[in-house]
Amino acid sequence: MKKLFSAIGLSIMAAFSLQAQNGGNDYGQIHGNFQTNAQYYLRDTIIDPNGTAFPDERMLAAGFLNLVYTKGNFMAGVRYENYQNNLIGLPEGFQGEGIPYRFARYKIDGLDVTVGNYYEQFGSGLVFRTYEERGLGLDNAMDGLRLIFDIQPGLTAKALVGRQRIYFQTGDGIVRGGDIELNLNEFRDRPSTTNLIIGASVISRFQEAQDPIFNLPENVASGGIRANFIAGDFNIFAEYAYKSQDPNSSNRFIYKPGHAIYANASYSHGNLGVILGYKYYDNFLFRSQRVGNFTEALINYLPPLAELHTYALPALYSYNIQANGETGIQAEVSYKFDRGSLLGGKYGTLLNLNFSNAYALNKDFTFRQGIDSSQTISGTNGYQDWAGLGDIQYSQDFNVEVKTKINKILKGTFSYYNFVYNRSALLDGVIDDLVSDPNSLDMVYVNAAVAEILWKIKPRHSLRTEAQIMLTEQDRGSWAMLLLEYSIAPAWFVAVQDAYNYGHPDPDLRVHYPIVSMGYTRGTTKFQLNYGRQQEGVFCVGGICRVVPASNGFSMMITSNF
Amino acid sequence: MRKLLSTLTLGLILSFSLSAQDKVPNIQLKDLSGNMVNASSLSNEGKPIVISFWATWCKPCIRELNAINDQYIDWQEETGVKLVAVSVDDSRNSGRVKPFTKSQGWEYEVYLDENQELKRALNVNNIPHTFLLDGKGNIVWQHNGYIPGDEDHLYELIEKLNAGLPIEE
Repeated sequence: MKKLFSAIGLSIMAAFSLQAQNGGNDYGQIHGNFQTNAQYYLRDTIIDPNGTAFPDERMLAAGFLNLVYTKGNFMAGVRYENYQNNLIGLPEGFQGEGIPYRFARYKIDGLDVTVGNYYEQFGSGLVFRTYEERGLGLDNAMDGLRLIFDIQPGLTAKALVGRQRIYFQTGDGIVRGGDIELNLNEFRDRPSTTNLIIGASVISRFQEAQDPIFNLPENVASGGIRANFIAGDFNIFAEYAYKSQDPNSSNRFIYKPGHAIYANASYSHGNLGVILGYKYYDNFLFRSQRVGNFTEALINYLPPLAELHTYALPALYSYNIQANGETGIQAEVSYKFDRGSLLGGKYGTLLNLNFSNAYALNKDFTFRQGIDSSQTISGTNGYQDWAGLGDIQYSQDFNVEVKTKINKILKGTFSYYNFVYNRSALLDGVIDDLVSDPNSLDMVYVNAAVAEILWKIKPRHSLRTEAQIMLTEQDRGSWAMLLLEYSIAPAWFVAVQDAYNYGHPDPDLRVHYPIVSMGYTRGTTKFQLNYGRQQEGVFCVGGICRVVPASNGFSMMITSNF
Repeated sequence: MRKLLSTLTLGLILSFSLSAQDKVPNIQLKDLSGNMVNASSLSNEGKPIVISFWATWCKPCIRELNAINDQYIDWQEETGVKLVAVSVDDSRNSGRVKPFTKSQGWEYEVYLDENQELKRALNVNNIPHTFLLDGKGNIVWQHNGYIPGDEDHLYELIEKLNAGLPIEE
């Protein structure tokens, strides 16, 4: 039945767009985008001796098409998705095909109504955020109703209800909530450089409980308040959120409430920018159903407050959030030395320093005797409220980046990284209440450097070179990498790269990971082909990371929009 | 059968909407002082606008915006074009956007699209993604990705637009 509706919807849209061509813009517009990824896997006995990451299908492909119809204040859309089957490293739950996303939305008299699927965020996301990251296979779209009401300029209220997407289904829990935001600047006669924006939000989940052991709350609520104060060059944002008792599979069924604080302050003046940030997340992972893995049915977002690295080698040690409890800070200074100054040289130089860290909370665990007479925290409060800074370090990241123009045709970016990375917690998923001795954790100490040079050979022709080195005595040992990318604007690029894991503790795994790739762009359509061996790595977008196993083969990507 | 129908419908839509003139949809963005701004109200007194989607973690985006920034004064003087940089950084990095743009020395108008609403409404797959709007606010050209030298091509198109020539690609 649902599919029938979709089909009808599509036909109506088609009809509209048909007429659009004859009658000008009166009938609205249809636009969309398309993407497909396919990979043919080759068996590689060096990086994958047992064939665990070699798919039976040998070839995997996935793709989607979005269509959005707009006419004035009306908007409607659908997304068709297809996974035959999903690529290695992405969630296997995405399987088969269907139209999991469709919505209609209109705005009238200050009221904005959405029915069907939607993405929404309250504040910084501590209480509520649904979003999609195609590259990670993350899509937590709501399916329900949403109202946004502009009560008057500067005062906006939102209300929503629905259930959340989990692959091709919706979750068990009903989600409902609301948000209100007040922007004081809008109440003034004259615009001012000083402003205060305050907001409050609440979200609640209902899920039936019939647990034989635990008396589980059927309604779980979370609420937050936030303020953003802006005075000229200063900007201060802070949000606090509270979550009621929510025993669930991720916190191991403990009953204590959750707390989250996210704050950052920045100052920017002339060529100088300074940022300070603080985070405290305690038992604050919130799903729209009690049992879930990875990114399934997440209804909130905890900003990691750590820089997101994109050069291939430093990105192997990316930070991902430890939702059961962590605290940390970030500090960043950036400065542009003017052209002509001592450090600025002829064209000016950009300097950026960034520091961040994250620690476990100092938890004083409460244990009880389980059925098999083992000790467990399930069913207790878990640990004390407002636990302080703990002994277990999750990460530390210090990095420096210098960007400069060397002469008319050469530009350089040079960066240095120093990481402390708790492999046990961040990659192997060791939970802090199981750690009796913090010294038993696998800590990785990393020093890395990257030099990137862009050489504009002649108009439209350029060569980009990345030389990367990453030194460590732990984990997989040291790496070196070289990348050459030749491009001819606006259509072509060819690239070759080789990452060499020369310092691997196992001599058999001191191997090269070469990849050749080429891309072609025509209008808004982009084709890309890759061939080679890809190292196992952590792929991150936003705050979420996913471990992608090593693979070997051909891959192809096409994206297009219209 | 149903699949065939859907495919046909999709095909129809594809073939009949390719040449439609498009405007920026009615979606709220946030400026760097926290005020809401409607994307459809972006204007430049009848002169062209470039909308560039970027993020603080996106290296090619920053390369592109720096390359344009080197020539931006000339672009503005000669064509009156305005560049609007829409950051899709989520709350992990949105606090960094203002100090970041300052330290880069960018003269652009910068907005936040924190939960990627405008990005989705304009069907942007990946960033960087650049749109060119004519003086009436119609989207006349768009481009995905950045290759050094793309900015020269974009500038040629802006000049064409100002000369009243059609943009065909």
